[in-house]
Amino acid sequence: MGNDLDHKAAELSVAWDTLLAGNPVDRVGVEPELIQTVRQITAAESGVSINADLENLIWTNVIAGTSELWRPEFAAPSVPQAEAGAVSRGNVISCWIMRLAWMVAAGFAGGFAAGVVSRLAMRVAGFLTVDRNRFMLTDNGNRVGKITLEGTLFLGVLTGALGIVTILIYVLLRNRLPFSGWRRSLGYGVMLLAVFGYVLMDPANEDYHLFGSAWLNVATFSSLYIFLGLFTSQIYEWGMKRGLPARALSFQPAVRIPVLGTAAVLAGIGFLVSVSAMIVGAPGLIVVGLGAVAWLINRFALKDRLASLPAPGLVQTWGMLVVPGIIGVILTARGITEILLNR
Amino acid sequence: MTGIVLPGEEASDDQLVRAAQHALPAFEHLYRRYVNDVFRFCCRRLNSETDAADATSAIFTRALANIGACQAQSFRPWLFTIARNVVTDHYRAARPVETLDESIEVTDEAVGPEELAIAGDERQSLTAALRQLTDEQRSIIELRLAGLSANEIAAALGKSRNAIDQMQYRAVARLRKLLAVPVLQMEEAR
Repeated sequence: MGNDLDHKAAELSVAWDTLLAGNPVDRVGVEPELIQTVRQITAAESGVSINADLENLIWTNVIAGTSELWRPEFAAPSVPQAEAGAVSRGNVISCWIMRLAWMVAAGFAGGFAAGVVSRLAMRVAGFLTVDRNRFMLTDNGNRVGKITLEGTLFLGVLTGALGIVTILIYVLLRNRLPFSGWRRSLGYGVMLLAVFGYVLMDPANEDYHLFGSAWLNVATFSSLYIFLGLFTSQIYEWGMKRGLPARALSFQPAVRIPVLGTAAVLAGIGFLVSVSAMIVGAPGLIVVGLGAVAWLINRFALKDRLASLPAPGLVQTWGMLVVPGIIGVILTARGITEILLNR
Repeated sequence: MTGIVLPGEEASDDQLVRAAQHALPAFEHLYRRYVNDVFRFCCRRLNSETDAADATSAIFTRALANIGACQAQSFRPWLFTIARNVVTDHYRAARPVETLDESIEVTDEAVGPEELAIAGDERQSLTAALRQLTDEQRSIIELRLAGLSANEIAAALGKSRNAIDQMQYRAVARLRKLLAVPVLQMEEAR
């Protein structure tokens, strides 16, 4: 009896496999009524299909959700080429170098631009200063209301360095940030202001009393964070969408080797700048360091197929940043409140 | 398997997975090949086209992120293992993924309204009948409807082929009886 059931079950299974392959079922041991049921339920399901627009939209979403995983490798190869041989370890390393270099370049460019734009905002604030304060020394040793090229360049380079750290944090958090496109970048800028705002919103800084309204000063300094988040992430995304790091790898060896060498130097500078920035600001060290550890844990978990397990929030990147993030928000709120009240 | 694809010949899953493991853009071929099956599977499980679209997005995002860990010979069972996990997570998680409801319109433009209505009734009957099955039986039928072979279902569910065959047999026999019963009667029997 048991053997009979086994046999029937196996026959039905083979018959269904045959139907799936699009072939006619002519097996003797299969019960026709059951095959008819299989045909009936298969037909009932066949009417459901996805439309082309939705299919494309989902694909766009998939790319957006994994953009940091897209190893910059040689555009889309045809299958036979990809089958021809494994990508060498050297190529993989090259890809990572190019990607890191792009992060550094995008971070610096975005940071520099943010610094210059903020400098312009400070100039506006400088014009609004009361006359008795004009040309007094600021907290950093500059003159109130006097905008110099050296000062602008210095600020640009400084914010450029900050931009490198900014883009590092952005890449760590990208998939956890709300919205998409420029809204995500803007949101990231606001998040930077909320979490790291306390670094500039220092009530002991006399500059807040040398310029015009305290509100205006707070807004001016806040703009630096917003521009920093907006510019760095948008430049980074712009390059990644166009596959700029990957494109460099398709150059002829004569061009490719110097490009890779330059990229390696750039990536090295980025690493040193990031570490220096972390050492200079201890809270930044905690946040970025924990985030990096969480990111690594996440990557190894993905590699070991643990991704489908419901991982506790605190071992995920965003979870690791919650506590230091909250501390940053409290410090920022306190700093802004004290600046405004002291005024 | 030679790995060489002749003009006009379709690349196998195996070849596409290997290609995607070397360069992610090749994953798009796998996506285009299976998005409909996955979406249909999600529609059946979630009973909502909006949720199904979100889940499909999450499934392929996860598959793409983990493609390096996929054994090239068993992509489809692996993909549907992810699909089952995502659908399960969907029930558990409070955090929704980015919604895609604006473009959702699941219709087959090739058929007329009458045919659609009839097909809708048949699907409704099938949905009601599937609810009468045990979880394992239901999973097997749903994976079958997604196009998986018996061996692939065994791999996806982590069971022996023999066990799958038996559960499938019982499920089909039960469905045969249930589909002969009007939907309302089935719902009342739950």
